[in-house]
Amino acid sequence: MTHITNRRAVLSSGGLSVAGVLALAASATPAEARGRRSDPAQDANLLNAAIALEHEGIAAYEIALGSGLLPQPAVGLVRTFQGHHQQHRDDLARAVTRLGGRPAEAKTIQQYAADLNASSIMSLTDIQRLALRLERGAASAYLGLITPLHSTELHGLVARLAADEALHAAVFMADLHEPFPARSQIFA
Amino acid sequence: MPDISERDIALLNETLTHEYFGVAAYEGAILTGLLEAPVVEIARAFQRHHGEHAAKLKALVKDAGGAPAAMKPQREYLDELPAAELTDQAAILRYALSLEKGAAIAYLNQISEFEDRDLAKIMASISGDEAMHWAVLRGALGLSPVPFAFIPNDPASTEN
Repeated sequence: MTHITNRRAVLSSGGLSVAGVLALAASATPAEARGRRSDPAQDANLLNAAIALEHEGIAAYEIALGSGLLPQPAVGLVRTFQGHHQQHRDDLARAVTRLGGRPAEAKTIQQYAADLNASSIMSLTDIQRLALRLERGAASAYLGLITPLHSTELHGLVARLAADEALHAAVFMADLHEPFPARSQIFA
Repeated sequence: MPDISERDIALLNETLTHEYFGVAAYEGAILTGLLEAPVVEIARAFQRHHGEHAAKLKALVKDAGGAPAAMKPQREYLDELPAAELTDQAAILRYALSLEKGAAIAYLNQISEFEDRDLAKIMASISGDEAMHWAVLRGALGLSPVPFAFIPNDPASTEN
């Protein structure tokens, strides 16, 4: 019980990295272990991990917008992608509420800036690299949530979010002239 | 792989038939001779991904004790392509985009139907690949890269 309480404490402050989400997914009780019974509390906990990633993405784009390093066309793109993450966050928050949970809250922008080492960002390329890392990480993390989630309806939701992040990642890969991945199942 | 339902096997086989078609469609596109060299390179990369998806799906069906859907002769797939419409590179890219978009949406719509969660995860991973292909093709056609927060549910959506 203690580790569950601690996990909830971490999640309620929105403080979970991609690695943390994957660790949480791995530590969640496997859905099959308890047959087909639902577990709204665990599902809400896992979705809150996803909300934490969306908070981080929104903050990262806010930091980028405030950096003064973005040319005007990139400002439009960043605002669009930030808006997507806000919609993802809102959709996930509604799902958490439906499950009887309390949606994870965002940290302060200063905290995200520290977490993301924003002071090291010196160029548009640095921003694009950070964005690609976060979008890729989110896509992989969402795939990692599917197995422990009980509700098959939620499998569809997180898979759709993973695909949305994959679309974002593809844009930054192109901007950075990264070669397209040779192997399939890019986010497996 | 333990206790995979007949329904899950059927879903895998349905996806497998789409992947066979995807491999053949890119071959048909390359055979037109209308694609510039860098686009041929992208087509080959995407074709390779679809080939790997097909191999993965076949293995999953076999491991589950099922019979993988059979691949048709390539000629039959090529005959299904809208050859009269594929008159230049842009038209071919638009057609490829429609296939990738359709695959991404169809696969995402199926994920909640899988009884086995590991299979749902694999299908979500494959959907992610199709989404990336879709985004690259949008970029190649000069379209807005990602015009929606959520991939639409309807494969017939007018949003490309």
